[in-house]
This record gives sequence, C-alpha cells and structure tokens, in this order.
Amino acid sequence: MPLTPESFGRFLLWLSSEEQQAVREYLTVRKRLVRFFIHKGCADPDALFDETVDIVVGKIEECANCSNPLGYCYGVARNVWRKYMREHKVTIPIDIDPPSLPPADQGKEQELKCLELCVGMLSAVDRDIVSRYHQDKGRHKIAMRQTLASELGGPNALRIKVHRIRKNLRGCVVNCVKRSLN
Amino acid sequence: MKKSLPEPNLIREYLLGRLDDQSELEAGISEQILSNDDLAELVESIEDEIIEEYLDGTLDGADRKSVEGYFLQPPERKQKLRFSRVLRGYFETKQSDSIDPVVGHWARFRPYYPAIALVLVVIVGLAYISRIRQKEATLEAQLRQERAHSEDLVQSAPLPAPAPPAATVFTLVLGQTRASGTPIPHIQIAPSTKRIIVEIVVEHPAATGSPYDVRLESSETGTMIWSAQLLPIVSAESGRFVFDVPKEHLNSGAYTFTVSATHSPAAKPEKCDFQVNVGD
Repeated sequence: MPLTPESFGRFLLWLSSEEQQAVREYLTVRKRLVRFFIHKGCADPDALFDETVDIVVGKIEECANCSNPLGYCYGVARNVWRKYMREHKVTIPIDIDPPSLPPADQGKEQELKCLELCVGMLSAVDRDIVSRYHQDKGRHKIAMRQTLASELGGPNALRIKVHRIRKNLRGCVVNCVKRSLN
Repeated sequence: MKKSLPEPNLIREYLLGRLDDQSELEAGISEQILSNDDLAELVESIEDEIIEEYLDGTLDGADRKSVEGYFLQPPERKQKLRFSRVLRGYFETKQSDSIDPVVGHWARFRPYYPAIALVLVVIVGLAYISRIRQKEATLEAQLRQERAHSEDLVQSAPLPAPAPPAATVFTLVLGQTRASGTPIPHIQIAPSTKRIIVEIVVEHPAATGSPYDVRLESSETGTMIWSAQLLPIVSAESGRFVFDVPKEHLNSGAYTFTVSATHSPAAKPEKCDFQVNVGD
C-alpha cells in the first residue's frame, strides 16, 4: 500500500520536530533501509520501505520517546523482510534488461555517446585504472587485476577504487541520457 | 571496541542469500552494514564483483542460480548488471580499436613488465660490471680529454639558443570580440610547435555534464575549420573548456571560437576572437 501524505507527515514529525532535520533523518533512514532490502534480494525495495514506514506510523504512540528512530525502523524492516521471504519462497523469473529503459538502438547509441563523454571527464589516473581493470580475458585479466591490486594497496583497495569510479560513471551516464531525452 | 569488518567471502555469501537461514550471523552483518558506511561501500564493491563474474561466466552452477534467483531480483541490481555490460562492451571495443596486433601481443605481458624489467636490469648490470674494470683506464683518459675539450668550448662557443616550446597554450575569454571593442589576443605560434592547447573561460556555465558545441572559424572567410562537442570544467564561479586544436588548422590570420549550449538551443552562441601569427 502506498504511503499517504498524512502518514508521511506524521513520520517526519516523529523523526524530528525541526523540519529540515526531519527531512535529513528521513533521507538517511530511507537510504539505509532501501539498501537493506536490496541486500536481501527483494524485488521491490521501495515498496517494502513504504510498508515499513506505514507500520512505524501505526505505532508512533508506542514509541513516541524512542531514542534511536533508525534502529526502531530497522527492527520493523526486518519483520517486513521476513514476511516477504515467507510470501516469495518461489523464485521469480527475472527480466535482466528492465523494460523501462529505451531498448532501441538509438537509446543504446546515446548511452555509448554519454559513456564516451563521461569516461573523458575522469581523471587520467582513474581512466587508466578502469580501462586496465576491464582489459583482457581469462588469466591475463586475473594477472592484470593482481597488478592493479598491488599498485593500489591490495584487493580491497582495488575493489573500492573501481567501485567508486564505476559508480561515478554510472551516475554521469544516467544524467547524460536523461538530459538527452528531454 | 570497533568491530572488525566481515571477510569478503562472508559478505559474498551474505549477498547471495546463503546466510538468511543463519539468523544470528545474518543479523550481525546486516546491523554492521546499517551503521558502517565503509562496510556498506565494501559490500557494494563486492556486488560489482559478483556481477562481473556473472558476466564473465565464471560462477559455478550454485552461485549462478543464487545470482539469478535472489541477487538480481532488485531493479537496482538489474540496472547495475546492464551498466556493467555496456561498460565492458565499451572498453573491449576501445581495446580492440586501439591495439596494434604486434603491440597487442606484447601488451598481454604487461602484468609481467616489472619482472621482465628486473631481469633485464640484472643481466645488463652483470655485463657492465664484468667489463668496467677493463675499460677503467681508457675511460679516465677519455674523461681527461673531454674535460679539456669542454673548457675550450665554454671559452670559445656562444651558448646555444633555447629549444622552442613544443606546445603553445593560450587562454581566451568568451565575449572578447572585435565588435565589443576589447583588445584581441595575438597568439604567436612557432613553426616547431607540435600541440596547440586552448583554454576558453566561460563566466556563467550550465551545470556540469551539459555539453557545448565549440566551433573554430576563420574570421576573414567565415569558414568553419574545426568543431567539437565539449564539456566545461565547472568551478564555483566560472567554467572553462580545455582542448587541443590540430596544429595544421591554424595559420597566420584572424579566427573566432563560437560556443553554443547544446542543451539550450534558444540560447545565443557566445564568441571570442583572436589573431594568430605563425613564425619565430
């Protein structure tokens, strides 16, 4: 069930009586709980977050003086997840290419153009890392990644570095494609 | 005491849903991720690796099943998978486009370059040491001769002229045109210049990520000489484009750069004029 404006207002007030602070708290709670539902392999993390907030709003009187709203919401979110698990034991077939994205060649071409632009905006060091990370196949790829890991200070450092570059590129491409569609 | 981060292999099991039946362990990791942004980032980076391995086809049957039936359920991860495909395709195409077959063959050994270089250094070093003693006397004699010769040269020959710069860099400001009455920059380009790097300053750029059309025209004939779609580097108060112009496009004469925002076709293009003189 989608969250109503009234429920949302009550939830914000519960997070903080100061409006700006309440919005900041809300965004933190949302980011962390949606991430939790994603990590748990849920098909619609946003809907489960709304369901969590709905339940919390229903219990606001019980937890009016709660000192840790995030912790309280997380406890409710775990129950929502358990219920979801019981209802979705059967594996749902997946559709890897989301239908909402433009499947036509034109969309893909634009995406590649944007990627070219975004790669061009990376620093020379980051461009070199991401390019070498995606080079080669099989054992040559493994050897290249070992070299990169030793240059950057270990496998975890490489993971994090490449993750940040890819995240940055992905955000840049998404924004660029959106702008081109407007 | 700060709790240590879980091992990557355990995080991987967590992400594949294999800890969901081990309530205590699963809850411990979930709570750590909830409160620790560093761990959350590490978890996301391991998600990326799982997606990479899925696309490489290197996951075993059980992992592949977990990825398809559990891990890839959230739309966010499907989008990550899709983006990874595009990214891999892009870099694979770039690699095959840019690698010469002979160079490409040797590029495979790139991870071993440090070891190869070390072996070469050792071989060359040993050869050098074995011969150096034999040549010591000869070298000393040559050195004495060279010193005497250098002293003669210093006394008799004039200092050589400094080498001309290989690159010419100049900065233009949009709005600096002949029509506006502001002085036009005169750019001196030496014939030996190999690269021409231009910086154009924009006072009120759009947000980062909006591309602009930048055109170079001859002010005398109005002919378009060069064009490119560029992104400005935006700072708090201004922005700038930095780019190379092929040297062969600029001869002595008057030129104009025209900059127009592709995201706002109604906006008036802005111009800047400059004068080029090629010669020493």
